[in-house]
Amino acid sequence: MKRSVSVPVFSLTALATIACMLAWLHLVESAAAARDAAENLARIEAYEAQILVLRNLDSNAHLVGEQPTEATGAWVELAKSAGISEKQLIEINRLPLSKIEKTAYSRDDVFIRLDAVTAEQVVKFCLLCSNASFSYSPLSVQFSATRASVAEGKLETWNTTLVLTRILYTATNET
Amino acid sequence: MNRVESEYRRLAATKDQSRIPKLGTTLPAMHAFWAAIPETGARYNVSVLHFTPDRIENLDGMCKGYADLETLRASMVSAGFAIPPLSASLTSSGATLRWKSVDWVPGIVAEEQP
Repeated sequence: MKRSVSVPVFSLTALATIACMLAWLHLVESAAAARDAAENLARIEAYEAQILVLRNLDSNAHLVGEQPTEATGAWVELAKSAGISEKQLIEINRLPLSKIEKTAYSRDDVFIRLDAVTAEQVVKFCLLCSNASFSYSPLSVQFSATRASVAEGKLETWNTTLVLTRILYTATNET
Repeated sequence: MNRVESEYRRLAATKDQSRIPKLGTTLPAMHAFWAAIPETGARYNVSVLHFTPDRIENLDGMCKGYADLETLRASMVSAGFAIPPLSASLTSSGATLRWKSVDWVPGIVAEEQP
């Protein structure tokens, strides 16, 4: 009789112990999950604050594949806006992307040759290219005097070669 | 979380100036050069003029004489171009004008060297 009572008591105690252990484990897991969630929330809030700041800044580089594509016609239009005719824009040549060492960025260069233009037209063209949606800056500008500019009384004109550049972000899996 | 991180990386890669390599532009130096050209008082011809960011890489030409060369040089020095003391030669058509690798320091007047 005594033995038959102690068996269920023992079983109940064992079950209660197991339940308590499971509950404890669950509690520990829940606490860890809550900690993770709180940390994630803090990180998201930090990212959100930085994203809001960054969104208000001008872009200084373009994402490769997402940059605005500029057709030859866009260059011709920019030149015309600077007072340079299509006949004076004698070469537009996109150079291969060149990786900037030890960075996740590349240079996207365009070589342009202008025939018999004034310095004012060149500067205006460079400014328009810098401010255009595809945003190229002059990295090299070389003026060579034309024969006409040497003659007295003539407006100074130059045969000009330009290398315009912009920076592309070319890393694919930056961490 | 991944979307937020991805958006942050995209924006930081294109807008965070501290991450983006700086290549410079020739525009400020070009502007300083053309603005400093003396309108009167110097007679000269420039045949080649090459700008890179913050620098005149190469300038070739002729001045009528040493005085014209010095007038042009003084204007450029006052505009911030670090032009070394003259080393020119006189030819039948005037004094040679040849500057190579001249740095432009914005806002700072290059010091005259003795």
